[in-house]
Amino acid sequence: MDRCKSPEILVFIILFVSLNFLMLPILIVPGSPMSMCVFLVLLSMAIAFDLSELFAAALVDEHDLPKLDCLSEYPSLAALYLVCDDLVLVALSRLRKLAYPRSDVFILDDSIDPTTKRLLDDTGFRIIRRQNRIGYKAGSLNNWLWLYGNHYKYFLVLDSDSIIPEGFAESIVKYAEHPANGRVAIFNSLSECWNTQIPFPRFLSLLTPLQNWIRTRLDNRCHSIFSTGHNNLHRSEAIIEVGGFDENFIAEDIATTLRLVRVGYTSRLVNLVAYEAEPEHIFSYVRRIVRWAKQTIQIHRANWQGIPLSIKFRMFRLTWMYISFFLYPLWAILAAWGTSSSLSDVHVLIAAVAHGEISLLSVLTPFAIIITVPLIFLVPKIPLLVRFNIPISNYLGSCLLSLSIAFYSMLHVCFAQIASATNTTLTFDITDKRSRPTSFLLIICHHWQLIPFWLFLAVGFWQNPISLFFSSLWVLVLVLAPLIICLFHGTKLSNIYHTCPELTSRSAGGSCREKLAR
Amino acid sequence: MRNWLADPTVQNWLTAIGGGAIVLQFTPGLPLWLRFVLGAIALICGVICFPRIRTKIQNVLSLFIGFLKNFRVFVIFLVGIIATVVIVLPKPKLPQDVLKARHAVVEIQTSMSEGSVRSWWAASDRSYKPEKTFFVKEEYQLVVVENLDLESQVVRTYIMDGRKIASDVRQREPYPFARKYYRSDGCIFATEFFDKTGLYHHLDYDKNCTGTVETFDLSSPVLLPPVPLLTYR
Repeated sequence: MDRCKSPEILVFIILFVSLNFLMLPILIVPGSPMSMCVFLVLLSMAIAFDLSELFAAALVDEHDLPKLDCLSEYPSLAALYLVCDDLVLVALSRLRKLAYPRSDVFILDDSIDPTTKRLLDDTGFRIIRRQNRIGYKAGSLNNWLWLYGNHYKYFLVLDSDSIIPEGFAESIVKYAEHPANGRVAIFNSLSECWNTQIPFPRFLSLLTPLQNWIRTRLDNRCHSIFSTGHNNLHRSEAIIEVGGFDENFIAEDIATTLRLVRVGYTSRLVNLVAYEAEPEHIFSYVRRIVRWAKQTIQIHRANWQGIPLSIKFRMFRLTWMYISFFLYPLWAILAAWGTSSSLSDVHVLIAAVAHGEISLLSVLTPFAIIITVPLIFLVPKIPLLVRFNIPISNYLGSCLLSLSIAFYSMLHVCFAQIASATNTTLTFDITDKRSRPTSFLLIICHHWQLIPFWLFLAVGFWQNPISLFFSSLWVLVLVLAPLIICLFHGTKLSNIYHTCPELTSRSAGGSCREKLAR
Repeated sequence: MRNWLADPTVQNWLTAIGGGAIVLQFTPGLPLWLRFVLGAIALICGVICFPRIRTKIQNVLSLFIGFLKNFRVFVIFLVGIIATVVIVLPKPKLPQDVLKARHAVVEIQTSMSEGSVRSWWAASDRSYKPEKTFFVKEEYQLVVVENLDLESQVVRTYIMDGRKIASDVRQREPYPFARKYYRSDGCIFATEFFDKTGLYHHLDYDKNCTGTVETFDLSSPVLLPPVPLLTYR
């Protein structure tokens, strides 16, 4: 039985139904085609998904798990640092500051690159290597689990860019040792970005405080949340009981959560912050989002029987987030080709507007919606931006960057989802963490598929100047996306091996935020 | 050559391109030549990758069925909302003739873009009835504007609430002819006719069915101001 106490689903239903039955009858004029109605319903769903989390979080208080004040004895703990040709030296050096009495660090290395192997060998940590990469990350974790899992009560999973602050291990174990959390198998932490000295990740992670604020209020009200896959503590006994990590799926974290939930365990959030690096360039970012899109589609092949509704709702929202990428090219095609007009129409329209004949504009309501939609997303977040001292100008910049990336990567993400739906087996594409020069030309060449798409749209808009006139704002971002992305990279060559700022253990919203140089 | 085509990466690309070509066919208002090109691309990709495509379709279907099974609550909710919205939202309630005329516009545009407008005339002549009646509901401000183009064809534009909803092109009928327009309550709305000399007479009726005749000489082209805005394809 689903013991969900989260208002998330209820708020979503209220918002979605309200948007449909209050807003759409005003916006849709008689004679609008069916495709316009369906498009607007889907758009209202996107708005409802985006805002329901925010509104639901505003309705409830913070909800943290109970934890011990101090540990009478330290249970054994292993920190697993996973590398696969993506070593981040800053994160590796931080492993020495684990500061937990009964702990061992293991490096699970699937690298092929000899330099990476040599660097890891020099660290003095215990290195676990395999003959092959079967099962990818899950396979590597299982390999360790069957070798050493029984010797440790808990293990931390860290990606190659993960940085846990001093005292983090002890704090998270205090949660795990509390008797009330006996059936919690995975303790997930809040994430913040540590490479914010570089413009691209800084803008990408601008809303992290807001997301963490929402998570601390809503996540623990659900039956269980999905494992974040890194920066989290696992109860070895529980993971072994369900047969280890699920190697059949790229999203081993979600698949393993499903296994755990099915036997009565849960995955919860604790109010502790750990750090990770955001991709430093667009190529890495697109690679990551493509992988996430693929794995989100693939995970629907898992067994979802007996999973509570609140978990399914979160999966449905996650799926929608990626499927909605199809709406971008679809919108562009409909805007360019869905209607027809001529240059004389533009002249008459301008003349009509100049003479104050507003009645003619009533039929242009759908286009007015497209222009006003961003405001619906932006305005409700303003109070929280003020609360977290996020300048509105930075926020607008972040939104522009997100939109540009969405337009830039839409074809890749759509193809990735089609590939995932048509193939049963997928490969785990590791996020590229190496520095790489970025230029306008490179960005264009990397996604050359956009050029024929632009040409296709250009032909449509050539015979439809009115639609171009009213879609100009979006078309401008669509066409200028590579340039906008290039500008957000800044002039400085990114380098993930920069020294990261001093990080100490804290909860979300604590006083150490200033220590992260923004 | 065969090895190259059998490469999974190439086949994946061909499948994606073929699938994309099929999806693009749904784009409204595409010229026929482009539809042929897209069809040819889809066919070529399909022939090369057929066994692979069959497997892929099976994979998609299994995923889709699994999704429907596991997330049926959300799917039912979503479909229910869309269906309700479509039912509840204001309907166009356009007169059937206007709807037909709208479809005719698409046909005309398609035929004209291929330079075969004459064949459209030949096809439509059979359905043409001089005594055709337009039922106009009073709540709609339907305005029918007729314009004689340079080829002496009557271009008829339908404007409702200030918005061009359709246009219609037909050959001027042989003289003399007359046409009557009725409202939905059966009351006569207007009459138009050409006399034997080619003069066009337009007769408007008020509520008391008292007519006012206006006569136009259509021997020279009459160019009315163009009606702006978009025509849905």
